[in-house]
Amino acid sequence: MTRQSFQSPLARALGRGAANSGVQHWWADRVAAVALVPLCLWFAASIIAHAGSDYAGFIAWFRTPFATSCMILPLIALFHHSALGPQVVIEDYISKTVPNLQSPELRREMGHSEKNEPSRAINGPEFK
Amino acid sequence: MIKNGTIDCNSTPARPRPLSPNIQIYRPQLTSVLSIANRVTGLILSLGAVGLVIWLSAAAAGPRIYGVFQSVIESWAGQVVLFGCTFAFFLHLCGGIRHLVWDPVHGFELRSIYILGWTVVASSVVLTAAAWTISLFVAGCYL
Repeated sequence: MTRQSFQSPLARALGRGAANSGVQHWWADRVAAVALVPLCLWFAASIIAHAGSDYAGFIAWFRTPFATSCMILPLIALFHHSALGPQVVIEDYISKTVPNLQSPELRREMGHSEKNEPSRAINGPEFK
Repeated sequence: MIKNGTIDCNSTPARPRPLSPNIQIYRPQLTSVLSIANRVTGLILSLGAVGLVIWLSAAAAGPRIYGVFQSVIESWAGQVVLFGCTFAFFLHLCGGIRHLVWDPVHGFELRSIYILGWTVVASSVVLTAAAWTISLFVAGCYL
């Protein structure tokens, strides 16, 4: 069975089309989101429980191994999630005005050699 | 525009073609408003994450710098920003849970979309009110 590429010849020449990397981004965003639900609820509950406490009271709680570990985990998930999320917003509203850095002709202009050019990663696999 | 024999596809044409979504011609709906709100609150919380780092750094720096941070947070403007961040947090949390429900293709009937949507609005309002009421109670403001 022969499968043809769905890209038009122009799209192939310009190196546009599927980025071939969306699934990983989508999954990482969701995994971070699922982790953030309990971690953020814990964080919110802890902050509420320590409302109005001074520096000494706050530090005494924060020094406990459980609180410290539980604070590191949401920070990792939070910064991962807040890197992936705004990236989508930026791509949706801003990227239309930026040149496609992956396009072969632009890469040639910028001095990238043909040898190192991952043409398959750009154009997607060719089904033949 | 021809440059070095190649076509520059990113040059602006004389009359730009209309781009979707044309949100200015649509009447706001719960679905579109919540979708936009989820993105806006996400961006707000990304900025709030910077505040979180400043708070933790202040705590690490010692009581004097933490006191400065605390006085900023306890000021009128600081409380307004904190309240806004709390509402943004709960709206994004509830909206995010709605997205996680949608991901395995659940609740896409029009009726469920509106039920879930209003649940998100109501629960984020209730959670924000509850968080602030309990916080003020714990802090001893009602005693």
